[in-house]
Amino acid sequence: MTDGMTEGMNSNSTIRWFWFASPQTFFPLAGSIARWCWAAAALLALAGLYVGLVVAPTDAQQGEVYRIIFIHVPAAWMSMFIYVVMAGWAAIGLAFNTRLSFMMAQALAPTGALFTFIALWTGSLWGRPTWGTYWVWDARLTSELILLFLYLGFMALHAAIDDPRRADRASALLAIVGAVNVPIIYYSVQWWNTLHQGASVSLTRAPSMAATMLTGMLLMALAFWAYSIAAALVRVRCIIRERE
Amino acid sequence: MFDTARCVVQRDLLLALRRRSDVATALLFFVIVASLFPLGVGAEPNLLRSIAPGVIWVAALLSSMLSLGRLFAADHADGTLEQMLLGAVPLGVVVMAKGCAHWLVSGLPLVVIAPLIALQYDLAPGLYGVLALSLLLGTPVLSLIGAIGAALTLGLRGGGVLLALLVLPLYVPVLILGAGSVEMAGAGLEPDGQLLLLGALLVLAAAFAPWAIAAALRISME
Amino acid sequence: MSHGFFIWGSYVVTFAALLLEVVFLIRRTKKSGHANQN
Repeated sequence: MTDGMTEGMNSNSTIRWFWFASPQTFFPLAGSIARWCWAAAALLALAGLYVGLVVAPTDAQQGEVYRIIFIHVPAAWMSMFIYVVMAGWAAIGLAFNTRLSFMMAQALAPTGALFTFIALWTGSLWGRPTWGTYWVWDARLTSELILLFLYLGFMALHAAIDDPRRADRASALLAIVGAVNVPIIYYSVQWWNTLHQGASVSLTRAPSMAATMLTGMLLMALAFWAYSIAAALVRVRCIIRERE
Repeated sequence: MFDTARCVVQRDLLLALRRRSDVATALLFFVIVASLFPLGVGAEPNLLRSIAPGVIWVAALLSSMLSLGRLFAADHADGTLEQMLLGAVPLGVVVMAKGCAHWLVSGLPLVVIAPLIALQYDLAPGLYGVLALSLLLGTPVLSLIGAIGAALTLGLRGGGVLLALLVLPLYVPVLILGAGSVEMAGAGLEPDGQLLLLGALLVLAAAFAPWAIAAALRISME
Repeated sequence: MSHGFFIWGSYVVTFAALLLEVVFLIRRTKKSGHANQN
């Protein structure tokens, strides 16, 4: 039976909205959306890689190494975006008490953590040839590192609690507290970075980016986005099966 | 409502007094951690002077985290916490009172002991005031944010370490601002910006943390 | 400036990691599919 709350029978759209809050009903929908997203991700990735590796010109200062940006920046964008979406599902779950919302938050976390790792890995490999060291304490990398800890904490808390309901709700609250803190963390790290290194030792490209570079980054970002949706939906299907 | 709050504070202070060793251990940890760094990095005075604000602040963070386990554990074990949840007084008020008592016993002493450690690091005398003020503003924030973590991890196996993982990332802004203020003052610049921001964090935490702590307690106690 | 190592390292590890995630998801799907006969 549907788990979602039908608030009176006041409107059809309300019923339809909560209709999909039931894990059973959502299950097949998730499957079809996921299939489309896998295909979209593959196509967008091919397009993005083509633009990034073939079309975009060699950089005057960094040569070919700058091409790491086509992975690094989109991955960083996704890591932050997924966290916000995860916290959003957590908030919906706590507000409306719908099981599926919590499951979506759980499903997003590993993918988000993975993109955070990718951002850190590519940032590190980009830093070595450009700045000489494998780790650069610039604002974005440091913030990404803390974001990784936030993701891992979310997953660890959920894993540490046996009761599924308490686990869902506790990690949801943690995600929301984390989300509120992320802007504060980001700005304090930015300030810390300027204090300790003066001129910005940033891995960000200068604003005057060639149009092709921007296109490449956007295509890869969309590719990662489609991938994330697909991965999260497949994972949530697993979670539904495991719990129901 | 304020009577209840006062009662809770007095009760917690009395309990802490009876378990003096628990309190003293966390403070001793603060001193020990700060003493370890010179042993690790060498006792060169210039180096120590430059790392002093950061080391003292990190030690304060770790000590604060250690003491958080105590915040709800005892009341949870003997059933008092359940009574607080069911009581007529808003849980937020009770939680604030417990947080205050906890800070008085675990945070405020850090503010007092820090200058002694600064002495070990040969920190310039003019910076003691900024150091103490930054800790005075920052340690309550640490207590409040940490209490959220303590409430979430109530009664869990591996609680202490898990609490650390959850709470340390959230501590980062306080650390950056706190240590940064002392470093700014050390460089001859005005630390006002950082201290004001710390104050702002304190106000934010005092406003929102009690709600989050209460919600976390309800989740953990269902 | 043959920084090919770093470029390769970035791209290969990234796509390997994403592929690994997909592999794990496939395994998890199979496992939950068999455990639950619904």
